[in-house]
Amino acid sequence: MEYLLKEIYDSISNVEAKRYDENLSKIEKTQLELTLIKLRDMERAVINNKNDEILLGLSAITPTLNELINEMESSGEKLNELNVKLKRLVNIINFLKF
Amino acid sequence: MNKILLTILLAGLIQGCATLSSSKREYIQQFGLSTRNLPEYSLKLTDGLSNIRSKRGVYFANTLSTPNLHLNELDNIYNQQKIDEVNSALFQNSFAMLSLYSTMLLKLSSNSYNEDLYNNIKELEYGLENLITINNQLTSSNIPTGFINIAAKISFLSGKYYIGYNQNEEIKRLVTSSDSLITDISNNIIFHLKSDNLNSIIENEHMMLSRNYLTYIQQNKQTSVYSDLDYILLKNNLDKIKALKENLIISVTNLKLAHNIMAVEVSKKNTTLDNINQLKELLISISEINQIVEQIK
Repeated sequence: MEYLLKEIYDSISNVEAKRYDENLSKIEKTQLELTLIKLRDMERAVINNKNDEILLGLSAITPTLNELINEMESSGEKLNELNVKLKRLVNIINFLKF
Repeated sequence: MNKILLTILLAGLIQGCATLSSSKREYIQQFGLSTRNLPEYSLKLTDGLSNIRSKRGVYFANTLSTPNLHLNELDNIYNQQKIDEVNSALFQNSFAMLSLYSTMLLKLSSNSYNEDLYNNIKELEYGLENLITINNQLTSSNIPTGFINIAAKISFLSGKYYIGYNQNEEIKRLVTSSDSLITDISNNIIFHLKSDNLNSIIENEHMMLSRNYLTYIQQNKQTSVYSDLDYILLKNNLDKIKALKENLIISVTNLKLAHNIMAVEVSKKNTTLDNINQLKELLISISEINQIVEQIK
């Protein structure tokens, strides 16, 4: 649990750090805000659930996060580095599901 | 005249047989006094943590660019507060059991004759039985109910000496028969307080509080003195909550050990106490918790 929480907090910090990049378009900034909201949902899912229910809670959120990552990928290269980091989080959750 | 004399002699004899020495009674009183406010301390921990998480959430919500997202996040924070209340209920329940038990000990070991003892004890027994039932339902544990049953015995007797005799007997029975219960409850609390989950949440909260406030400052170039002071207050509260958690672990450990000793001591026939060091440790640790709790705003 603590490992997952750390990964989620790292992702939040990465997205937050990118949010105030002046080169980003308004749409990209909104995408980052939506990503942050989903990451905060993940944080709550980890904190609220018992150990055996955490992955179930996270699995319900990862599809939306995946969609956001895909959207950000298609919008250009500015968010590529961040997308790689976010995909890492999704991969960890997918891996732990098995 | 002979009847009166006989009654007085009999009462004195009964009282003498079951009397707890003043040092043992004092031990029980100090134990009860020091531990009856435990639910208040645990509430400071769970509510305090929830409050910090909510406030940093509000700072985050204020950085969102559209009113809809802002409002949606505030709703999420509100819902989380409700979930936090439910999640802390089980934790509070354990502390409430210890507190009710302590109050029961205080009532029973009181030197002053109390007309309402029967009603008081009956009420406390009812409360404790309820908490045990809730605990068993929520944790699937099997703490026995119905083992206390003191009020019924006291209700059969009347008169100061008889009640006094019965009180002493019931203190001994209550303390010895509850020892394993107190150990179980204490161990559960210590297990939760020492869990990696709680540690991780508290440790990461420092980082996230700073992170969320930094974003808030970036978004709102002109922050108010009020919000800056609030940020400092939240940091301070988080430090105190961490200290509170550590001190609760120490206090509950001391409580468990002090009760173990009390259970042994009340069963002995000697009038002196062989070991009061653990009680001293308990009193010191509770005093430290009081100081910490006062600093959480």
